[in-house]
Amino acid sequence: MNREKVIEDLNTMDEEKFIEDLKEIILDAAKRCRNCNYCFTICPLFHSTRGFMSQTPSGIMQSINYALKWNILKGEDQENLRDLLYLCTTCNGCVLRCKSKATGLPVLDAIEAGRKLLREMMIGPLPQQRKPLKDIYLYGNPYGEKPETRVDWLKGLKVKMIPPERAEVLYYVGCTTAYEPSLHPIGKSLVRLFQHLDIDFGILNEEICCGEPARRMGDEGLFQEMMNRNLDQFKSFGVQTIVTISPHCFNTFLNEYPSIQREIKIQHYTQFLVQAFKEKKPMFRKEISSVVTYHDPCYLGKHNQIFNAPRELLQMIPGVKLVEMKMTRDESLCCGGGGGRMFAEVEEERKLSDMRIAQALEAGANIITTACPWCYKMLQTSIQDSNLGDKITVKDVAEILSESL
Amino acid sequence: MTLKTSPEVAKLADELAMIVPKKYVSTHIFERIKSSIDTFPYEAERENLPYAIVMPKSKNEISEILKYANRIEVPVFIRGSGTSFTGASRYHVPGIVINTHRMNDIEIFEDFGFFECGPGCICESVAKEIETRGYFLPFAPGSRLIASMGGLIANNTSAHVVDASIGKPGDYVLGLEVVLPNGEIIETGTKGLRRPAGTDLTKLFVGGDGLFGVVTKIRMRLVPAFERAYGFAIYQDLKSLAKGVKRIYTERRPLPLFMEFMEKETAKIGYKIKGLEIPRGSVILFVSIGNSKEEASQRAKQILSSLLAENPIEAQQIEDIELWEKLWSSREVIGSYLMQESGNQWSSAEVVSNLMKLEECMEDARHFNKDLPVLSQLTLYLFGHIGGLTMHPGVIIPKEWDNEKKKRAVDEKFQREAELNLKYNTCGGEWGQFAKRTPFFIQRYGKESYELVKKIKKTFDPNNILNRGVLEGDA
Repeated sequence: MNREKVIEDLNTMDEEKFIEDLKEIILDAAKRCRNCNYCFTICPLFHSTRGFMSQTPSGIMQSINYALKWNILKGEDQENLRDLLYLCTTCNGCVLRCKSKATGLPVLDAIEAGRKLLREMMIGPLPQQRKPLKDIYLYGNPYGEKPETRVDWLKGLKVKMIPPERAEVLYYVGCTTAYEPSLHPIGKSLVRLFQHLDIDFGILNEEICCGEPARRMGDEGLFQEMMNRNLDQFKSFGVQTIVTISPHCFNTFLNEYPSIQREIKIQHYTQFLVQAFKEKKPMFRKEISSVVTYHDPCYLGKHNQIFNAPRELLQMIPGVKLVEMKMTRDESLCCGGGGGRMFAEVEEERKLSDMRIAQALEAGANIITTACPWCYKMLQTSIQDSNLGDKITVKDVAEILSESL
Repeated sequence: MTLKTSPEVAKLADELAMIVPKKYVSTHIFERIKSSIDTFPYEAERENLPYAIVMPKSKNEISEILKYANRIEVPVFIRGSGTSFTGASRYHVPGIVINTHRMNDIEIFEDFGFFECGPGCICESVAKEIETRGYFLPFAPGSRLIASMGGLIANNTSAHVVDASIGKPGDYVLGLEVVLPNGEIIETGTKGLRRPAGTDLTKLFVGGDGLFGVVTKIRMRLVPAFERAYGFAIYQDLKSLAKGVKRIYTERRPLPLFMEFMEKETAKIGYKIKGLEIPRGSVILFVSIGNSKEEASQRAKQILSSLLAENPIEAQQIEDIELWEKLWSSREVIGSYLMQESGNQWSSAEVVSNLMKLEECMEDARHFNKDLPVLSQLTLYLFGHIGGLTMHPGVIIPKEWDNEKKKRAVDEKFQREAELNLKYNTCGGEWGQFAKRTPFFIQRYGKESYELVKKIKKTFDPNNILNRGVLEGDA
């Protein structure tokens, strides 16, 4: 049973079969789970929740499994199950751990199948997640912002707009960078970097959400709709290469749009820039004399094994001393923003982003870099809330690169 | 007392919430399920689900919980990461589960030469903390990434380490803080580096299978890190391999820290996964230790001289660390590969030989599932910690089997394990003495010994509150 089969059922509108397929994904994975619990110490929830065993990857998976097998889907139990399923950050750490040490289960697929099932049963998502889903449907972004203001951040910049123009590279900005003013410098930095490298790039006039939040929150129907709308655009404008800012959009296009990779090259900007910098040798003029650490975004690192590209870029910058935090690369600690958690308050005894900032300080860094708008927001909020602005700042890799040019 | 109604359980939770903050008490069905299953391949048992799970932070909270449990006569189960291989984390009756994960403080006192940690500390976290300061955690369970220190001490597991090389965890425990089943709090041992001569209650709780008290603080000696040297040998047959290992002991060689083996067919799997040239026989891998590189290397050479005397196809020291890591991980990945390849679950036994009959025991382990109605239907794999004379014959349990068949498979495994350990007058050195192994304990040490343990248990725990069912097991 795989994801494609589920989508096929959905497309053929066989709802009963869709639900059966979701159940099969869950029951099969849970049956194979050895309950060895290897997954729990790598899970961000182990570090951030109260520490009950149901709040672990196998705990969540077994919960939905027994809910189905023992028919525990009523009243308070229903809410408890929903809260457990939507606690997961979908960081993929459990999947990697299980693959290296145990049965190699698709733990995350089972958890996400559980979310879809709860959505079908009108139990999920979390109450606060309903509005962003509605907003994606109505406005093409999860923030309820007007579509016509999406490209406002580009004012004053000379950038090709698709259509009517065409470009070799589609710079897919993503909803968060487009609408969140504190992230506009990241979007602009990438424009500057592309221009510096003479890249023929353009931005969609009517860019819409890739659908990732919808899928993470269990709304498969909405995800499919956003995917189809995006694919229509890409096809009609003859897009051949897409470069994204967000690892979430990147992962969605690369791994969750079934046919796209056969026709379109999908890259995260860090991959794209490493390659471009190697070919075109940028002129770094400004030294950044800082101790810099890099926070691996889960959808770049743990989901797609892109660990080196951002680090290579940082190491190109004169003056940068790159240090690693104690949890790094495939053991990196999630910032807590993935899996739909950007849109809801979930249990956090200790905030993951606070822990991450503490780890960065422990490593001696005065700049924590990342390559994901959500990670950026989470880390920035932690620095502000903890009044640590005089000790450490957060920067996107694109920003720090642009500053040094 | 058995709680029969929801209001009774709610009352219990309310009263527990007067001892620990309410948010650390859970009666959620999903937490109750997850806190009652272990690595056995069969499902949770509805009738034995715990009433509530509670997460205390201090010895005083644990003390109050136990006093309360005694008053209402409800059993209390102590749970770390729930990784027991003997069924010690499966409950036979409902009760209150104490999850120890919040008791995870670690303090290192280099000036005193020891560290202290809570029972909920994860072995890997403790190891990392002390390793950065140049020390070494003197035990290495396969579950190091998740095992709790409390569980590890309650089992006194040698895990993969060769016992005769550096001993058991208990040899490094200087003292404990323990809450007795009646709620009284005691301290054992010393804060110095010289352990007590004469009566030392520490010994009752280290390797006490959690029967006599709840360990709330562990004090262990800081052990300086060793230098290491690596070696391997390949033998045409298991008999020669066993003879080679015996020589290491009888020729009085410095024993290795680790010595693993893989039977030829099993080794092929690990080697293949790691992209190594398929071995021509059964494989031994070992790690020697010393205070210097030279000393470790010298010791490895001495071990090799014994191994070479039994005409291996190949035997040598390994200097190339990358190659060593590949070889070592070829042993580590076998179980997970087999599970992933088949989509089913691994289940193994712990067969321990005496030194003299190692060849014979190995042969028995190689035919571990012979004539067993359920297990003989499955392919047997064989590897183990041969330096500790331990073998782990294992099978892959098909996920399609029904619950009852899976239970029979587990029971057969323990029956055969008991037969072999009885034959060789040994016992398991990794997984504890009771639960599924209680029948073995009775056969191995006699009814008198078992009754004695029961009497000791009764002295400490007259109401049989703590970890009820572990001692009784399948007896």
